[in-house]
Amino acid sequence: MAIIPSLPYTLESIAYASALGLLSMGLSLTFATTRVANFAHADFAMVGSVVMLFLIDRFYYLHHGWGVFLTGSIVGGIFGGITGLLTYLIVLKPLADKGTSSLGLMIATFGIDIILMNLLTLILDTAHGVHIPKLIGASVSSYEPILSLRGYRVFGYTIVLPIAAVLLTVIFHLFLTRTKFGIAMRATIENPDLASVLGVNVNLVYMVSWFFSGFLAGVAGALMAFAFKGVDPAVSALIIVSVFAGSIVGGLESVYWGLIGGFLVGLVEKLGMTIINSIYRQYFVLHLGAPNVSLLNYEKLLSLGLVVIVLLYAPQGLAGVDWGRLARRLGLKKPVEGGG
Amino acid sequence: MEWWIFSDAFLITLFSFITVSISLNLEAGYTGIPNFGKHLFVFVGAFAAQGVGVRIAALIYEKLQPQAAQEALAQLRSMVPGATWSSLVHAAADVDANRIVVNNYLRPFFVSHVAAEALLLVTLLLVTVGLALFFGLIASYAALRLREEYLAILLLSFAELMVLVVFYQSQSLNGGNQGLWAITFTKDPVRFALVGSGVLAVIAYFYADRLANSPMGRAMRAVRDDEVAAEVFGRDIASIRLKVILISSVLAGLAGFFFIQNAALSTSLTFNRVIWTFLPWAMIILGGMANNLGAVVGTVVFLLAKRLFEYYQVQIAHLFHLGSASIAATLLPNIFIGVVMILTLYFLPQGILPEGPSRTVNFEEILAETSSEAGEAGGEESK
Repeated sequence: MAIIPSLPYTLESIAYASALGLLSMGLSLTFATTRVANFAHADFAMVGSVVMLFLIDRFYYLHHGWGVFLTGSIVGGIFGGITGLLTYLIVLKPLADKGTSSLGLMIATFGIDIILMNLLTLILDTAHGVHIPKLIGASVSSYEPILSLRGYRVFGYTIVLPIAAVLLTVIFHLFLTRTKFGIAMRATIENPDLASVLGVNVNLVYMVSWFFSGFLAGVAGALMAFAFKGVDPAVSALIIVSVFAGSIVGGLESVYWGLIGGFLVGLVEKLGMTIINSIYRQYFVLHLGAPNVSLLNYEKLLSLGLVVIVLLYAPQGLAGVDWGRLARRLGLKKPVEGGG
Repeated sequence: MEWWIFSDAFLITLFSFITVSISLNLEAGYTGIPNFGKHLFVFVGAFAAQGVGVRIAALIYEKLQPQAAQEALAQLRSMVPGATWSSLVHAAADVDANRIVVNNYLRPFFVSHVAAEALLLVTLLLVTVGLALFFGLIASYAALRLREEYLAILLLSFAELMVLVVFYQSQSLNGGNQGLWAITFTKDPVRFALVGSGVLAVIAYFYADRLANSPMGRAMRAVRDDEVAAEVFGRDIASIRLKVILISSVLAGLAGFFFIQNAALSTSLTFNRVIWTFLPWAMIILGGMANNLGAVVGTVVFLLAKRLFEYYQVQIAHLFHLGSASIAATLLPNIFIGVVMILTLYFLPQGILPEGPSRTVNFEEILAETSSEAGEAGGEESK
C-alpha cells in the first residue's frame, strides 16, 4: 500500500476542498458584511443538495450527461441564494433593526439551522419520488457521467467542482473590482457608516451578500450531492464544522482568504488523513502492534486541530499573517534595505 | 406513573432539562459565555455511566466475585472466541455480549449487594464530576482567550466532533455506533433516575439562585456587561469565567448521568446538538436570560409542547397528511421550537421573566444594624 493516495481519491479530495472553499468564502462574506456568524450556512448547501436530488428525480430524462451539473448547480445555487436572502430579510434584518446583540443574531442563525434541517428532512420524507422511490438518504452518484482516466474510474463531479469554484471566484473577483456595486460592497465591508454617508445603499449590499453567500453554498451543495453516500440534511452538522474551520483559518473576515482556508482545510482533512492513515497502518499497526482501526473516520479532527493551531499562533487567521515578513524571516526574500 | 402526557420518562427528561438549562443560564445568561457545545457536557455524564461505568463495575465485580466472573467469561467465550473479561465488558463489536455482561452479571450482583452498589454509585458520580471538570477546563482554556463568535464556533465544533466523530466512530470508548448499556442502579432504575434527576434539579435551582444573588453573581453580571469595568473594579475575570464553566459543566454532567439511567441502550448520538444544546438555549431565551425561574419556566413550556407533539403524533400526522407519525413526533416539534425561539428574540427579547435586580440585603436593615453597632469601629467593607 502506497502512502501517496490514488488519482481518483486525490481528485475527490480536491473536489471536496473546492466545495469547502466555496462554503467558507460565503460564510466569510456574510460575516465580513453583517458581522453574523452564520450557523445555518451548511443548511444552505443542503438546500442545493436537495434541489439536485429533486431535479434528478423529476426530470431524469433530461439528464444523461454533463448537463446535470450545469442545471443542478444553477437551480441549486438560486434556491440556496433565495434561502440566504430570506434568512436575512425575514429573520436577521428585523432582529438587527431592533438592536439584538451579535450573540442574539448568532442564536437566531442557530435556530434557522434547526428549522431548515428539519424542514428539508420533512420535505424529503413526505415527497413521493418519481424515479427514486425513497428520497431521504437516496444516493445520486449513479446519475452522473463517469470518465475513464489512466485506467481509473473518475466521477464527473470531481472534475466539475474545482472548475466551478475557480469560475465563481473569478466572477466574484471581477464583480468586486470592476463594477460600481462591487466597489460599494467593498466600501461597506471596510466601513458601513462612511459608505452609507457616501450614498451607498448598505441594506442592498447586505441583501446581495446574503444572496451571494447562499448562492455559493447552493452550488457547492448541489455538486457535493454526488459525493454523499446519501442526501440527508442531517449531514449539515458535520459540514458546518469544516466550514467554520475553513473560515477561521482564513481569518473569518476576508473573503478570499476564506476560500483558501476552506480549500486548505478540505485538503488537510482528506489527503492529510489518508497519508497519516497509511503511515499508521504500515508502521504502527504492522510493526508496533497498534490497534487495527481506520483513522479515516477521524478526518474532521484534523480540521479542529488546524483551527486550534491557527487560533493560538495567528488569531487573525491567514489573512492576518504578514507574509512578507514571514518570507524574510525564513530567508526566502531579501530584507528590505533601510528597514520598513 | 402514567397520567395523560405525564410519564416517568417525561418527568426524568423534564428534571434533567431543568438542570441543564439552569447550568446554561449560569454560563450564557449571567456570565455571557456562549456555550454552543452544551450537548458534550451532558454526554459526559452518560459516558461516565456507560463507557467508564461498565469498566469500573466489571473491575469491582471481578475483585469481589472472581469465581462468578470466571464462569461468566467461560459462557461468553462460546459467543465471542478469545474474549477476556475486560475486553468483553466493552465489546461493542458484540453488543449482545455487553448486554449479557451488564444485565445478567453486573446488575443482579450490584442490586443484591447494597454496599458494593453504593461504592459503585459514589465512584461513578465522582467520575462524572471528574470528566465534567476535565472537559470544562478544555472549554475554559478557549473561553479565556477568544472573542464571542470564535468561542461559540469553537465550542460547537469541539462538541460536535467529540459526540459525532470521536465517541461515535470509536468502538472501544463508548460502543461507537452500536452504543452501550449503561450501568443502572437499584431494582427500579426508572425510579432511581426520577428521584436522582428531581433532587438534582431542586439542588441546581436553589444553588443557582444563591449563586446569582451572591457577590459572585453580581461579579458574573459585571463580567458579562463590561469586562473592562469589572477588571477595573478588581475582579479576576479569568477566575470568574473558569468557576462558572466548571460549575455548570458539573451540573450538566450530573444531569446526563441521571438521564441515561432511564435509557438502557444508547449511543452518543442521543446527545445531539438539536436536543441538548439548541433546546436549552431556546428554553432560557423564552424564559428569560439571567433568570433562574425563567429557565425553569422556559423548560416546562418547551418540553410540554414537545411532549404534546409526541403524544398526539398520530392525529397530527393525519391532520397534515404526513407519511408517518414519527415525523410529527420528531421533526415538527424541532421546527416549532426554532420558530418560537426566533419569535421570542423578536417580540420578547427579555423573555417571559426578564432579568430582575439581584437581591441584596435591605438598606434599612443595614442601617439598623450599623447604628446598633455604632460603637464598634468602621463599616463593613462592601463586596
